[in-house]
Amino acid sequence: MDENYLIEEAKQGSLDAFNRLVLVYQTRVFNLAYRILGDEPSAEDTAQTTFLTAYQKLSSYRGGSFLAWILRIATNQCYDKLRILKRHPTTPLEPEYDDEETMESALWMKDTSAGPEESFDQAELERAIQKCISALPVEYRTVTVLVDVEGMDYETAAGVIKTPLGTIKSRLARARLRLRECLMGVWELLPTSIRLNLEGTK
Amino acid sequence: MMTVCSEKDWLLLSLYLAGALSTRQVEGLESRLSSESYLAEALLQLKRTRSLLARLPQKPVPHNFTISPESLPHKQNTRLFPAFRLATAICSILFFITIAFRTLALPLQSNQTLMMAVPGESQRAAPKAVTSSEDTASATAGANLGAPPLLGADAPSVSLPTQEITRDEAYAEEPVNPKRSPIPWAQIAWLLGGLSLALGAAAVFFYFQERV
Repeated sequence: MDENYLIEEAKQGSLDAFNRLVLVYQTRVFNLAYRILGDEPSAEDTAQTTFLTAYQKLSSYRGGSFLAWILRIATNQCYDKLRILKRHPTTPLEPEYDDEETMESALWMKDTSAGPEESFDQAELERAIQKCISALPVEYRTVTVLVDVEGMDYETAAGVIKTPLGTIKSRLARARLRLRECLMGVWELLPTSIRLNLEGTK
Repeated sequence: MMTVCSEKDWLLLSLYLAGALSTRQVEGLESRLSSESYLAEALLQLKRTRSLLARLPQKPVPHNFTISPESLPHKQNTRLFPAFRLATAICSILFFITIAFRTLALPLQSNQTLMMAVPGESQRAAPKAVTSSEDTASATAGANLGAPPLLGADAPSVSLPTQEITRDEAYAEEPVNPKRSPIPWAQIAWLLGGLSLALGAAAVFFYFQERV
């Protein structure tokens, strides 16, 4: 169904129309929140709050890319969440990424198409990359997630976080430089097949 | 010898990978890449970094984030920020107008008051000078103290018993206060300034409250 029609309907108060938009964008919003915040429960909370806020503030949407608008709300919610987490740090009762607890975390069950060894490698790789992303300062992290992970162009990313294009470019270059240093170790640990695959991908 | 890329080079390489360079810049960089091995190595590392990041899979959502009517707050907040912003702007403009008016218009007004007040005094003083020497002396002395240059022509033939009139008495008889104005400009300026500050603070508060 036409996105603009759904937005107009939602603006008139149709929750059903808005929920259809939610279904379209929830994966992008959740993943953005997860990459910025680095943990799943916080990302869930943030995604839910984002959609709730978006519904309440829908009248302030003035056209343009709806994805950019909703990701802007998500980014602001992530910043708020990070501020809260910084003020009130929490410690999880069970370590999520403890190697000894792998069997309990059910990561090995996720991808049934690949073999268990490959799945494990994939999960390890993802974890290592996420660790490097989480080590970045938050403003670098956001730009990296938007451009390099979510695949946005510079202009859209600048629109999402309301930052000048030049700032986006320099932040991204610095973020990549830091990530390069962090990910070099990860690269050495990668199996040759994946390395060759990635060299071919560019 | 190992050469380290400068920050400018990293930025250039980053933009090159994003295809955000002009044709001329691309040509320049590519010629450098073919001749400077450290730059080519840096580019390779950046490519690897990007491909690793792009390899991150999309995480499936743990559940749908659709909204139910029960999860909505009962009443939607009205947007107060625009109203407070407008009120702050109006108050600030009025404040500056008041200050400007007080600074520029009052000296003119006081001059006019002075010029209008002086002939009235001299007209009143002249007939009295004929009848009563005491009155004449006081009026002339008062007028002389108030505005000597304008009064010279009006009372030339009066003898002055100056020893009987003190300076304080002369002022007390005909006070001329050019600073006095019927409108309390200072109070109005204070009021508007305070109001602007209070409304501005409220506007900032509501801005962060209602921020998307």
